[in-house]
Formats: sequence, C-alpha cells, structure tokens
Amino acid sequence: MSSTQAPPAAAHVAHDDHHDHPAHLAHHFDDEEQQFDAGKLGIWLFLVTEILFFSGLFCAYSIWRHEHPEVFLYSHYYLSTFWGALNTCVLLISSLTAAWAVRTAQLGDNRKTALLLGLTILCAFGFLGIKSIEYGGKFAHGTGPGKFFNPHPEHMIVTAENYTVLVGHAGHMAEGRLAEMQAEHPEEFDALFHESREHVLEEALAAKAASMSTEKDPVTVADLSDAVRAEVEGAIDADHAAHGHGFEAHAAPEAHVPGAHGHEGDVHAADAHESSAEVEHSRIEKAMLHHESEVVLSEYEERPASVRTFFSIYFAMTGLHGIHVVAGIIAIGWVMRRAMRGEFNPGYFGAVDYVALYWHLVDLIWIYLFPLLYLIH
Amino acid sequence: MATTQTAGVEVHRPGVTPSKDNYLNHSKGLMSWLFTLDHKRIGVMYTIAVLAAFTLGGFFALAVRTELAAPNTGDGAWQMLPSGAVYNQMFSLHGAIMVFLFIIPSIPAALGNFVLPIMLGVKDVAFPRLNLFSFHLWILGAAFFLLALATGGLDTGWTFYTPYSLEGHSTSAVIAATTGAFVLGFSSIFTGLNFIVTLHKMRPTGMTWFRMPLFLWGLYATAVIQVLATPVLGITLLLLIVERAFKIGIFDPSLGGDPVLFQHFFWFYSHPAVYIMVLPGMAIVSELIGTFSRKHIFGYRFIAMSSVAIAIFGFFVWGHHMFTSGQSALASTVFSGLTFSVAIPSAIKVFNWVTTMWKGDIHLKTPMVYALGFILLFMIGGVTGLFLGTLSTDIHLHDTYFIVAHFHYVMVGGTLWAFLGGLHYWWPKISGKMYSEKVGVTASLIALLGFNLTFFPQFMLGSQGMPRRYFDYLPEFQAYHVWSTIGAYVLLIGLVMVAYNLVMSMIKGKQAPDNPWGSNTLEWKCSSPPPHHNFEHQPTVGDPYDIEGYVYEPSIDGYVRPDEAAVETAGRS
Repeated sequence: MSSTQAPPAAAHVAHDDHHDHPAHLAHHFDDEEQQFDAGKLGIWLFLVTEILFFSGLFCAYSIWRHEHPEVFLYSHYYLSTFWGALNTCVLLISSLTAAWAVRTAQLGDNRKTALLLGLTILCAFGFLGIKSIEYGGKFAHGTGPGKFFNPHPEHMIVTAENYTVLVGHAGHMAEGRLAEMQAEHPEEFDALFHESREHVLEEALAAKAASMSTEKDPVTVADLSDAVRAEVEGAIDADHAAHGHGFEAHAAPEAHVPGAHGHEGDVHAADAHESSAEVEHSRIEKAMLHHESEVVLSEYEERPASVRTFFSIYFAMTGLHGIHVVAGIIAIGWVMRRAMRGEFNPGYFGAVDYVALYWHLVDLIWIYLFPLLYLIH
Repeated sequence: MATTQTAGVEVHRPGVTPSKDNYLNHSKGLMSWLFTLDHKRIGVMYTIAVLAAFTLGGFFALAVRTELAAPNTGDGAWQMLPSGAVYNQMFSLHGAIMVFLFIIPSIPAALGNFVLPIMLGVKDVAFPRLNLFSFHLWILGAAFFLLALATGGLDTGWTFYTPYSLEGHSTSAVIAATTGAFVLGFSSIFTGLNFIVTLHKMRPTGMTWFRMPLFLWGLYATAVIQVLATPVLGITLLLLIVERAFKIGIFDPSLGGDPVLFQHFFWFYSHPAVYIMVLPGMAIVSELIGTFSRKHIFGYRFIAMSSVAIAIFGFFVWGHHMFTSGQSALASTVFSGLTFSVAIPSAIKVFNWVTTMWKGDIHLKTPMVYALGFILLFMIGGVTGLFLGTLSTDIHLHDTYFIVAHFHYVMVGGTLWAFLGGLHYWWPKISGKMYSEKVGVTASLIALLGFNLTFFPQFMLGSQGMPRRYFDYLPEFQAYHVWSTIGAYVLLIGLVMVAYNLVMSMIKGKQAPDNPWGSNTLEWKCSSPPPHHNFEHQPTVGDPYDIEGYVYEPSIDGYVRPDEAAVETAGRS
C-alpha cells in the first residue's frame, strides 16, 4: 500500500530520499545489503523454529525408543531400506540443484536458475512419489498410524520380505530361552524334548514306512513290525545318548522360510537320502526351536499398542516432513516463477537463497529421519 | 518544525505538529486497514482485536465469579449456570482466550508493533508483509476459538492436559481450540521473528544496543522466547490433535502413551510464555517510571540485561508446574532451585525502578498510576510465586485458589496493568488526542481496588484448601468468595471507565502535543499521530533517558526542549 499510493504533500519529504531506490529495494530499507542481511537473519531464525518444531517429535522418538527398544527393532523391518535410501539420494540431488540455483541467481542467470529450481521441484515430486508408494504399502498391510493400525497377521509375520531376518531374531531369542530352560528347569526341558522326540519319531516311522513301500505293496506305519520300530527308535535314542541334549552346540538357528509350517515336507525330503542320528537329533532341536520361535513371535503380536506407537511415530515424523516438502515445492515454485520473469540480479537474489536454505533444512531433517527409522540395528 | 495554517498566516507553535497527513488519514476505506503494511495500523488493529478478546474472556470470568457467589446447596444457595459442565467451559474458555488471544499478543503485537519501529527511528519493521500475515493468523486463531465455543465448548482448562483432553466430551471443541492455539502460536512466532530481525539489522546510525530504550530490550527478550519456545507448543498441540483424531498413542496412556510427556512439552513452552506475558510489561514500566519521575532511569544496563536473564532462566524452570505429576524428586529439587533464580533478575528490576523514583519529581499521571499499581501487584504475585516454587509448600498449595490468585497477580496485575499503563502512555501518540486525566487516574485506582478485592481473598481460600476449578464449595469458604465476586464487579466498573475515557477522548479530546510527557525516546519526536513514514526528518539518536532538558509548555499541555527548538527554528529560517 505504502509504495503504490501517491503520498499526500506532507509525506513527500519522507519519500524524497528514496527516489533513487531500485524497484526491488523495499522502501523501509536503506540499501540492498541491509535488505539481504535482514532476510538472511529472518530465514535462519525461521529455520531455528522449524528445528524446534521437529524437536518435539525427536524427543518423543527418543523416549519411546529408550522405553521400548524391542518394538523399534521389531517394527523397522517393515520399512523398506531400499526406498528410504533412494529417497535420501533424491533429496541430496535436489539440495545440490537448489544450491546451484543460488549461485546462478547470484550471477544473474535467470534462465539457468529457473531450470535448476525446476529440477529441484522434480526431485521433490520424486520424493513424494516414492513416499506414497511406501505409505500405500503400509496401509495395505494395515500398519497405518493410530486407529488405522490394524495389521493383517499374515502381513505382520509371514509375507513381509524381512521374514527371514525377523524369524532369525526370534530364533536367537528362542535359543536363549531354551538354553535358559535347560539350565533352570531341566524337567520341563526334558518334557519339551520328549514331546518333540515323539513327533520326530512319528515322522521317522512314516518315512521308514514310505521307504519300504512299493507301488504294488504300500506299507503304512501300522504295518511296521516291532523290530523295525525298535530299530528306528533305537537310532534316535542312541543319537540322543551320544550327543546329550547338547543344545548350545547349535549356535545359529536356521532361517525359516515363509510358510514354515511346511516343515514336515522338508523332513520327508531329507529322510529320503539321509537318516543318520545326527540329522534326527538336529531335527528334534529344530522342531523345538521352531516351536519356541513361534511363541516369541506371538508375544510380539501381543503388543499391538507399542508397535502401533512405532508406526504412529513413523507417520508423524515422515508426515510432518512430507508437509514441509509440499511447502518447499510451493516456495520453490514461487521463486522459479520469479526467475522466469528475470527478477534476480547480483544485487537481489535473496529470495532464492532463503528458499534454498529452507530446502536444505528439509533435506537435513530427512537425513536424520532415515537412519533413525529405517536403519535400526 | 511546528506550523499551523490559520487564515493563511503561519503560526509557529513549538511542540505541536498537526501534520495534515498522518497514518490515520493517509488512505481510506476498510481494505486500506485490513491489508495495510503499515506497522502502526497493524498495531492499532491488534489493539482493537485483543481488547475484543479481553472483553469476551472477561465476560466468562464474570460468569465464573457470579456462579461462585454462593454454594449450590444450603442456605442462600445459588446456581446461575445450568450445570457444572457449563461452568467447566466458562473457566476453560476464560483461560484459553485470555492467555492465547489477549495476554500473549497484548503488549508485543499491539503496542509493540505500533511503538517499536518509531522508537527505533525506522520506517517499519523488517518484514511488513509477515507482520500483516501474523495479524491475519491472529484473526484465524480467534475464529477457531469461536468455533470451539460453537461446537460444544472447551472444558479441558486452558492447559489441555492429557488424558482428559483426549477423552473429554467434545472432540471438535478440543480440536478447534488447540488448532486455534497452534495458529496463534505461529502468529506470535512471526511477530517475534520480525522484531528480532528489525532490532538486529535496522537500527539507524547512532542507535547502538545500549542506546536502545528499555521497552525495546524487553521486546527483544520477549521475541527470543517467542521464537524459541512457541514451536514446541506448536508440535505439542499438533500431536494432541493427531492423538485425539487418530489415536496414535503418544500421550494416551490407554494406548501405551505418556500423559506426563504432554505436560513436559506443554510447560516447556508455557512457562517461558509466562515471561512472554510479563517481560514486555516490565519493559513498559521501565519507560514509565523514569519519565514520570522526571529522572534518568537508574541502572539502565541492569534492567536491560535482567530482561535477557529472565528470558534465559525462563527456559529451565518448567518442571515447577509438575511437582505433583510424578516427576522424580531430584528433578523437582533442581527445578525448584532454578525457579528461585528467576527472582534475582526480577528483583533487580524492582530495585532499579524504586531507585529511579527515589528523590524524583513524581508526576501521578494515569500511566504512572498504572506503573505503581504494576509494581505493587507484581511484588505480591512474585513473592507468592516463591511459596509455590518451594517443594514442601507447593504440595499443600498445588491446584488450590492460592495458585489462581498467584498467577492472576502476575498476569493481570503484571501484564494487564502494564498494558493499560502503556496504552494510556502512548494513547496521545496513537490517537492524537488527550484523555481526561481525572477519569483515567480514578479508573485506574478503582480497578486496582477491584483487582485486589477479587484476588487477595483467593490466597486465603487456597491456603485453607479450596481447590481451583470447582463448581461448588463448602459454606465455610463463602465469605471469601463473596468478597472475590464483589471485587470482580468493582474491577469491571474500573475497566468500563477506562474504555469510556479512551472513547470520549477520540470524540472530544484535546489535540495531543508531540511530547505530552517529556520523554526523550524517539516516538515523541514525531507528530501525534505520526505521519505515514513515521518521521519527516530522521531524528538524531541520543541517550533515550536524557529528559532533564525538557520544559513544560502550558500552552500546548506538553513538553518542549528549548535548546532543540532553538536549533530547529534556526535551521528553518
């Protein structure tokens, strides 16, 4: 208003000093340097407020990770490191083009500035696109934020690509617990072992029957003679006696593949060529371990409130960051338009500089979010 | 300098510059106000807006006090409000509106916007568009509060404590009110950011940091808090909204969240916000005391630095709101100790004000009466704060009327008194008109009486165990409640007189001189009201408190400086 309306007579004095003002210099600044410095301090202060704004979320993150480390470990396997890393690269490139645009604006090359800002916007849209793929996956698996957290069990346990790692982790815990049980409650451990042994024995007998069968003369387990039964049983027990419980010997549990309930199928296949006591024994332990792993995994499933907190924090942090990306696109679009109009020159390029600074901060926040959410080990 | 045209003859009257063009008549029409970039008009719009909010919040307070005039049962029982739920909404909206819509923006955004650039000797704040935007955000925030009122009423108290704010009866009211506070937070951040940049980058030649008037120091310290604390409130309220809407489980204990975390976040902002409320008030009083004691301010650097110290200390004491929230004993002890440290810079200010008045020529003009009222009320509010900062006594006094009385003494006795003092002080500059001193002083004293009558009995109530926020009470408390309610109406009378006085001044007040009080800060060196660009000649900057050269000139009812007038007349001819 002040600059557009012709001031009445008395105000002329005040205006007269500024007839030499270039058009891009606001009336209340003395010179270009003062205007640039004011804007620069302003944007830095604004960035400080932005950092403080995110600090609340980082603080909540720290508290929850401290209180529930296992939830974070468990949940982060459901985030895709690949997409996250790709997005990090996209943002880093966009920061480069933004910084480059500041330089070209400073040199007065408005065409190149507009081009580089356009590339920055393109990267920003790329980031949002990748993010929406990730978000879509989360909602499809029922791992949305808050009340949208309603995971389908098969997605939580079996079909996720990280199943192997996850079960490996559960196996580690199961192994520790079995060893603990063996030391502290030998009779319970023996009972569990016995139960597994019965199971293995049944499988071994079935395998034996199958191996004795011919097409004409099928042999069932019931047809096996007592002598054959005793032989199979003796092999298992001999192995048992030879190796003791020896659970600790098996340090690394084998990774279970998705659909681990097909375990028995594997037993048959293995039994076809080998039936050494060694294999029998390891099979018993594997069966026990599998049983225990499922217990551990099901315990994870029993903590939906905390797991949902992870996804809530994930969505809150990345969502707020995403809003900032959208704001960045608008701001960069605005300076790009101004560059296309040729408004910038060596004495006036502040707007590009400020917007680029903001964009670097958005980038930097992602640089923190990526390891904090995706790379938890 | 001063010329009036009377029948074609130029009459030179030193000390009066009735410039034909001033910021009020520079352009016309409602739009020229609503979309102005002129800091003075934005300041005036803020003043009107925050006073409207104050009126609304005041009515809620009167509803609460009227309800509490008698218990709901027994002899002489009385129940005005339809239910306890409505009562809860009354005090919640009273608190939220007063804090977020009135007190926080009152001095910085309303008076600060008007005065800061002129006092600094510049044409405007660094970012005039941002300044206008922050006013528009205020309007938007206020609209959200009205929406909360319309959608079932907020009943959480102004603090929005979880878990109640997550399960209280009206989701839309909680979300509307917290959205409003969130938006107002950004309004406050942008004002603070603007002031910091203006003070850092736009000080004219000669205006060194230690030549800045103390009001600007106070606004600077305030702005630092606004910029550093408010974003945390922003994210807290945002999380609360998301928690209420989507049940994300950050604050909600039934989902594994931590309600005490909300308290930490909330007070991390809201305790420093107490200093957003009182620092600008102290800064105004620092201007008033020197001017109306006709003496150079005593201990300029100590007053300036104590503002900064309060701003810094203010960030480390938030835990004293949570002594009974299950905070660890160690944390409570540390917070208690840090809380006492705030008393040091606060006391430095009071000592310097008193020393400035010592052997001064005290003129009991309306602004000075408010300044003295401020010192009295702030002393009571501050000292009772020590009772609450002490762990053992706080356990007894927590959530009683004692704390209600304490923070009203600080926020109303502090901020409102300073705001009214400042409003009367700068009124001649803002409106160009003089108000009636007689009515002004009388209104101030009536308000002071009413205020003390309202809140002093509440110290008694609280120490005897009357809890805050209760709809009903035992008959033994009634005498104090009756005094308190009577006091509230006396305060109302005082405030109505203030409004009457200021409105009447615009209708039939005398033309204000450039410098009605004999102060040496730069805003008194331009005409009343100021021209559109604040100064017709760039003023020379000197010691802002060098006021002894000013002489009272009865013909204009203002002050002139003979040496300066002579120089100017010489320069003119």
